[in-house]
Amino acid sequence: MSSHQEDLEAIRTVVQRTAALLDTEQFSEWISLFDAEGSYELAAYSTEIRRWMTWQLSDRPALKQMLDEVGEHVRDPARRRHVVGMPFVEFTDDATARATTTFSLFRTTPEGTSSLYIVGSYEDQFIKRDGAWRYAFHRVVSDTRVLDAFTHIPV
Amino acid sequence: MVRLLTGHDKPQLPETHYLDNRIFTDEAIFREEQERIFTKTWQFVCHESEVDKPGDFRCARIAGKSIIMVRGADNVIRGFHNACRHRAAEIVRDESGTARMFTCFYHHWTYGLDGRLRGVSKPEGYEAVNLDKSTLGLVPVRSESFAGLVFVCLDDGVEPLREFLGDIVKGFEEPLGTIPLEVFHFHKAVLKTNWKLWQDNNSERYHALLHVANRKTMPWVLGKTSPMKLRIEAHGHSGYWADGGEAVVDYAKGGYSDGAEGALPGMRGDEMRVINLFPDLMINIRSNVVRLDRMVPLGPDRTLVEWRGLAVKGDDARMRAIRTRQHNLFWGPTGRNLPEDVLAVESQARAMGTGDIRYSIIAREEQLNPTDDANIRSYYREWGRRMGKSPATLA
Repeated sequence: MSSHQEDLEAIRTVVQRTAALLDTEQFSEWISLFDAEGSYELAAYSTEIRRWMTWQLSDRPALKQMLDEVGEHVRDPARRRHVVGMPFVEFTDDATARATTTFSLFRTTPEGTSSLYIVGSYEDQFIKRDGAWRYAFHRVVSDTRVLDAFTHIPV
Repeated sequence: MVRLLTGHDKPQLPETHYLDNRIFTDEAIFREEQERIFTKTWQFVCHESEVDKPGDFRCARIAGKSIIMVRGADNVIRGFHNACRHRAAEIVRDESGTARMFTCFYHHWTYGLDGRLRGVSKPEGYEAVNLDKSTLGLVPVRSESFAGLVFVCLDDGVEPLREFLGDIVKGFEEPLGTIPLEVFHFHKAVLKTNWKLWQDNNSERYHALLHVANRKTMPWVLGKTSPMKLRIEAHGHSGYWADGGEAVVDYAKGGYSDGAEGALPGMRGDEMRVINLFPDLMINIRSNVVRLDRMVPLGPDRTLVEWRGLAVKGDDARMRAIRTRQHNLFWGPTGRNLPEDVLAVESQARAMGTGDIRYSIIAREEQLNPTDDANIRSYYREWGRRMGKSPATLA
């Protein structure tokens, strides 16, 4: 496999792991997908106020604090399952890349009722350090703005 | 035989200190509220910044009606029913936008920003009946503003807005009316609950125990005294805030930073104020950022809630990021508190829907500490006055 192909596969794997780790609530491992300087944003465009909104913007320490405290919160008991498309990856140089990936996120209540929760895209920036690709910026753009339930857990 | 407790036993309390839960579940009471409350009282509809420039419009629903708010060329914000006078199609089908005039998409009748009917398509067809355009403008809705908050009332005979608000404005005219603010955050959700349960949640501080973030940053919620005091005003309005001294919110205790920076005029960095206007608006000011909750009741067990965040117009990028972070930390859809509040009020609605527990207790008396229920009792006195029935006995 060429180096380019390996990098491509590595980035696609990071995106798939992102979703899988959230679905299984392995939050420490999820945070480890971020570069030390990396950050996470949940954004949406409001047609009501006609502007982009940041619903959450957190660096690694803030994400860690929030996810460490998840157990202390009262939470939506539904299980979540991501369905993630094939990332479209563009390399900026040997150590940076951008990727766009569509995703949908489903909720399944404890009674077993499933429903679509969020549709959106990941618009990510990656950086390669020490041979590993990680998020420099993991941006989740939510098309869905009327949510069935709110969540402390990243999307 | 031992008689088991039932959920229908009346509490041994004064009638003012409990509620019949059917006010939260009954379809007929819901319809009556729409008529007696939502069509008769001033309703917050949007912030002035949402119709910032002439031609800017914003749509909203009030008591099942579709309303357009538009800023005219004369800079006046007006409200109209969103329906063409020709065959009643909606004039505006977007949530917001900017228009030079409103043209009905169906048969192209055209209205000015002041609501006047400017033109009809194929006018020769009306020559035989001498159609009088001056009587066929958009139907206006009474609208007034205070401190940047735009209200409408479907009842022309309602008292002036300022009279309705009364002295509760002391809690929010500064900062809302003393510095230009704009809406930077908007989200909405249909909560599976009754609209009053969301208003109650916004009004009573007792439920701060629900939130780990509040338990950490507001340690006084566990104690017997509080730096904040309830303010009970006329017309069912209430609020709670501190007059100075002891910190209200200790962000450092929760491990959070930024809470104090860029405090709004009249606010300390460690301060929070909550103001609840009858029937359905909450104004929550956390030192450097403002949250507004507006509700559109859809049914006894369905409520559309709109959440707005206000920040200072002209903020630089750094300051806006600080205010946004502060807002989102507690109040955004991924915030620490909001998801828990929603779970609580939906849980109440599910249980009340079974009819098993007939009464809610609003009996706390704590010298007007925020965990006192005096503001809830005041709210339901106003509800009872307007509905012509006791919320405890339904008589």
